[in-house]
Amino acid sequence: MFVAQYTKTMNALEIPIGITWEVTNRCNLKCKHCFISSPIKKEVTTKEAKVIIDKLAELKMLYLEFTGGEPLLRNDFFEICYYAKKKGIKFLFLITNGTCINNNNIEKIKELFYEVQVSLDGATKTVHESIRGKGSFDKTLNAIKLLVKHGVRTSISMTVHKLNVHDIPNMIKLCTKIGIERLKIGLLRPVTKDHFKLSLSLKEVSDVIVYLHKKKKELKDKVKIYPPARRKLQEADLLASNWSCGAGITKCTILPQGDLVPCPLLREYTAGNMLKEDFVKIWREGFKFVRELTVERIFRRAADYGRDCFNCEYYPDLCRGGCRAVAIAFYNNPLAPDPYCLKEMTKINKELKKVLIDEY
Amino acid sequence: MNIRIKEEIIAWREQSDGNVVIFSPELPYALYLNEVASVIWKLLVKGETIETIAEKLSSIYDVAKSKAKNDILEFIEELKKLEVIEVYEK
Repeated sequence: MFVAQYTKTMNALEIPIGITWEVTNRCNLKCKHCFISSPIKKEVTTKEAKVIIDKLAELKMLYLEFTGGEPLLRNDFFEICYYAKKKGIKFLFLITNGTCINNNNIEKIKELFYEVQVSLDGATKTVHESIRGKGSFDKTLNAIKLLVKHGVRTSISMTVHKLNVHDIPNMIKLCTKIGIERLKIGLLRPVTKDHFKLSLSLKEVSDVIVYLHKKKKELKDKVKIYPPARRKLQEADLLASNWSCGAGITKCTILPQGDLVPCPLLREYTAGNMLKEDFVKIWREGFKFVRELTVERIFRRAADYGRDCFNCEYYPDLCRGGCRAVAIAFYNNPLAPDPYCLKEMTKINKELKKVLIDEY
Repeated sequence: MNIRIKEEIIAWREQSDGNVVIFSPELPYALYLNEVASVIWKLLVKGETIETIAEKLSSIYDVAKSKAKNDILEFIEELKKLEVIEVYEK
């Protein structure tokens, strides 16, 4: 084997592969499942944003993923992106609610981004707007159609919870109808008290996985569906079976004021600031917190929660202990197991086991 | 055998230890190459032929050229399966 996807020996911790950048926390929508409960008001200036890009380009960052808030609300957004491109950061991605995409900026978007991910949480106005607010559906859907018309690689991201889980079949139909090839279904990761009310039960999650698996087979390449469990595997783009995900290991997130955190959900765990400190120093020293959360430690602690993770057949590729942000939110313990345990789900839903074996 | 690296879907860099990491938005994970694979990759990128790469590997690692060539072909096969390169006959 020449290519090591999971190895403890590679020098991968040296520099992250890529960065997610919340360029603003301002947003023109008020989504019920938003994880940004206290938006950060301070934003780096255009000049400071370019300093950040200089640092990332010098380190040969392989990708930059722009998100928010709504990133397109920044007046200098395209200036920042063009600068990143000019500096040689090869792959730029955009995560947006789509409402600011129009005929005036579509060509720039096409030129800059490898893929644009638009958040659409319902296939109908009623469902989408019950989550994202009045007047949002048409704007977002028109943006998606415009992107498709201009040949921009576009994916729809649907965050699934109690308010829209029933609408997944309609979303698949809509994707087929409007020519969307990539549908990313993500589970709401409950990290605030409001989320707990919205989040799905284990049974509901298992039903979603089984349903999507069947649909995925049926649709083949017509619409590529990325079910939640599969996404977990994707996130494990790790050097290592040592950690439960790539946050602070192979990637990290820049917040609007320049703070570096492991991921958008672990936004309280600041490792340093891009403008005040050396990036390499922050990367090596500031992320000790997440690097100490090894799979082995999580698995040991799981016994306290009635789990036997060491003997779980889904380790290491699928779970690895799951999301740390959710564990913290549920149990106030970063070493607790993710409550969305696949093994527990297989006890409730017999079909899921077949799916997991078949798929993974 | 001609090899085309699909530059349009990959970005890569060399780490301080000389090993190569490749990112592709088409793959679900980044690829971390080991030492030998990294040497081969860097020569492939330069457009060197398999014969030349085999000679260089043979000299660096003190192995028979035929063994080096087998390793190169095996690595190329892996890259082909991952669809980050295209291989076609002259």
